[in-house]
Amino acid sequence: MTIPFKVVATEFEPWIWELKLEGSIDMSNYSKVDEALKGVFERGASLVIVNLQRVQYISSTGFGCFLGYYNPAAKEPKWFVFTQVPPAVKRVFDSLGLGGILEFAPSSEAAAALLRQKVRKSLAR
Amino acid sequence: MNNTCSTTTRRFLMKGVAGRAIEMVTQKLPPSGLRATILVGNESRYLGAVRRFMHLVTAECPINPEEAYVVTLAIDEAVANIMEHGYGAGKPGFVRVEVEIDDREFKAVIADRGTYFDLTALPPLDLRSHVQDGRSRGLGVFMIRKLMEQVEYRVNEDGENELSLKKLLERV
Repeated sequence: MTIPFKVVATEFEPWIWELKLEGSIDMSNYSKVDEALKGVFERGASLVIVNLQRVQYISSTGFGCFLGYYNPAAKEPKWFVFTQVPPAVKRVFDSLGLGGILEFAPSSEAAAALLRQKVRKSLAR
Repeated sequence: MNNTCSTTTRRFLMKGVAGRAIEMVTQKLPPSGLRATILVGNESRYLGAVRRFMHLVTAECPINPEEAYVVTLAIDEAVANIMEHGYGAGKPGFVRVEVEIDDREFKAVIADRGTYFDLTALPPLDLRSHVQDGRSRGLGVFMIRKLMEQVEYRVNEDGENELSLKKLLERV
């Protein structure tokens, strides 16, 4: 069954937003993901849970939406944690070596906990 | 190449492309393999048709779902690359994808008449520094090379650019 493309951004808890993606993300629609991400950042949030539970396919352009903002060394870094990644997508993340660069959590709650931990560490520095 | 035993031509309608049918031709290869071809125009909306084609092909072959995803991704990246860099948006052109899958191997040839672009000549990409520099593009070629065991590029006898991909498959 083909799942139509959809992207929904909601506030998961104060300062943490969740981006739920559905369907396929490729060259033809990645700009909508980028717009949703920009919308989140414009609200002042920099902590994002990326929920891929209903993603059937993600191309390099789709990966690029997130990698373009990934800069842990920045003064005000934007943090992403990917959650509920389908096994086939996770295998590609791992095959490419992104599994060791990006962060993953089994659930949205675990992703939020990881993001809070990152903020605490960052403030302690 | 094995001897073919039957050939089927199927047409499927493309959502959002009024009245346009995409044609795929498949040939069963004994004992459980398949050879299939699809031809699409140079428009990014056809990427969905290419993926659907790959879904239909891999569903009929002895290949596990995760490997089906990987080979679909490699094909999609190659076609997207041709559309974006070989032809450019809005330029007329075609991309022909031929795939052959048996119980041991996946093989594909992707042909076009866009600008010559030998992706095998590109230097290897350091993913960590690429990502840490905040670069979001240029991962398609990296993905193809990483996911496939053999990647070759040539201009064929008909003057078409031809990218050949090969991957050994895990036993189902």
